[in-house]
Amino acid sequence: MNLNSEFSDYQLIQLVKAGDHNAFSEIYNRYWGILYGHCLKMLKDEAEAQDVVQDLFMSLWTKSAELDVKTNLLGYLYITARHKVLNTIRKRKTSDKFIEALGAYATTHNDSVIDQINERELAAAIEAEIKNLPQKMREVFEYSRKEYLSHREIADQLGISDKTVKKQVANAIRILRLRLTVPATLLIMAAWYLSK
Amino acid sequence: MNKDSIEQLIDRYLAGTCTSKERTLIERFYMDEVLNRKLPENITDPMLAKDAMWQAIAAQVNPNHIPKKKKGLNLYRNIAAAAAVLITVGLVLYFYPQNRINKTEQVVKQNRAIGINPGGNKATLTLSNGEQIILNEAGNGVLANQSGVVVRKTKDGQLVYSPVREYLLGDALSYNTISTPKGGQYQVTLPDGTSIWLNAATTVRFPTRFSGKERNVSLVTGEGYFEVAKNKKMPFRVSSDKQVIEVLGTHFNINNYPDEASLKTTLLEGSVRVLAQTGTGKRKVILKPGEQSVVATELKVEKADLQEVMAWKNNKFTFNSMPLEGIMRQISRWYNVDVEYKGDISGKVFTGTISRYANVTQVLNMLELTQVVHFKIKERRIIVMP
Repeated sequence: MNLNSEFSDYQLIQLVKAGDHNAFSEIYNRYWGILYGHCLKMLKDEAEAQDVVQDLFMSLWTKSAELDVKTNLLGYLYITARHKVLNTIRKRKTSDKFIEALGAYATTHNDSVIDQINERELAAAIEAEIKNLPQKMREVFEYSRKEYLSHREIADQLGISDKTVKKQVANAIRILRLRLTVPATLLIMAAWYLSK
Repeated sequence: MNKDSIEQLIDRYLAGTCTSKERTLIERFYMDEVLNRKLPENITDPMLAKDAMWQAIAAQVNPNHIPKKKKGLNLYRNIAAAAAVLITVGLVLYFYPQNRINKTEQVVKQNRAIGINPGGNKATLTLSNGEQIILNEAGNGVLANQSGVVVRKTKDGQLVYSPVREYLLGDALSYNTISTPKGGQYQVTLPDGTSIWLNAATTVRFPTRFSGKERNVSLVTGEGYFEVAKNKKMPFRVSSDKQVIEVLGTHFNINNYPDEASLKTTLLEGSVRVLAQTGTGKRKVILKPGEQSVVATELKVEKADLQEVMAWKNNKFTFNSMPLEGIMRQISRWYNVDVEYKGDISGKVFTGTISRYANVTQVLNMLELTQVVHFKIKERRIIVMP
């Protein structure tokens, strides 16, 4: 298991901004499955999907300086993936069903009022995708997510305020981490304390 | 809409020049597709794809990356890289610009920590004639010759005792004492080849030559890690005020600080017998590797957390669910600072590891990451607050 699997996304972003390769590889471990699954679904082509994911992570690394530490990491990666998927579809030489379908959609919805997608919906869409992923592609993500969502991350994903989340956690939960003895044994852990 | 205009629409979207309505249209449609579609059925093993993608990414990200041929992702799993992680966390918090508004993340400012340095190889040697040598100021080489036993400083932080001639009947039995101050540490090799690593604020007393039936050494105060040379004919004994440890040849750690609640002996390898004087009388027990004896009012044996116990000798602080007070005592001894508590932080435990050579601010920042405790530094005093 990667030594960094207990860092939160927030901490990983900070580390990646500082040029930390380990943190970067942990982000890959955590989210490759979701992103690859998404690209496969949308592009229906393994090689293209892999290209997009590679591209995605490479630009995460090279552009990490521009990344705000408060970014919702998965949201950011997902939106970037969407962008690159559309780009790939657009560049396809043969006529794409996607484009046809979009054309039809645009025609039928020309006069209707369409609401902008908010964070909550985005999070829900990501959730739905994750549920449909095969076990192996989901695994690391679930582990890290369950244990280490901070108040803000929970709140962001659910679109509710920080304080509401705090109130909902009835008792003080202290999450202690006893790390397995691994020869390197160099691991930083934050003990999360969700208090009243 | 026809194909051309859709293509142009997508181009505008990708360029960021479309209208808000257009953007919403595309994103809504995209989301519908996402929710309606399923993963294609006949895909090759995704784990192979995971590896293949990483190979390509890592090659770009790290030009020195050597592609691995075998299955399974082994990402940068070496100690040097992990060490970089530890120090980096401290650094990032340290140098990150102050424009973060979140007031629960307080960064202890550097300028309050001037003069507080991590410990180093410092100790004082007191010879049998009372002469004192400050080891960190001494040069390498022979420091003394006491009744045919030469004391040499072999390198920074290391002292070696070697007999240069046989024991003669007329030789006086002479004792030396090595003392580390707060913020000090030292290693000494005794004439029989036994090595002792002294932690901060530690005093060890031993004879310059082992002769007779036993090898007797005393850990007067502090913490020492021992690697005892085997000699079945001459058992090795370490005495502290409440206990004597008898060993044949073995590796163990003794923690005997006056401000810690109990006297702990942890066995790594070999076998030791602990004879303790407790509040309820004399007790003895034989330890197996991985066990530790705890002497307070009673003598108890428990499973040891070897990582935590041996961290200091491996140049780290390691805490596994350690109460804050225990952590602060270690910090106090190593950085030679005082600790003051304001407010109630009793019962808080922490888990983590950091290099002992990190700045004290990096260590404190690591603890502050938990948002459970906060620190201020005033000269050589650390103030601990909830």
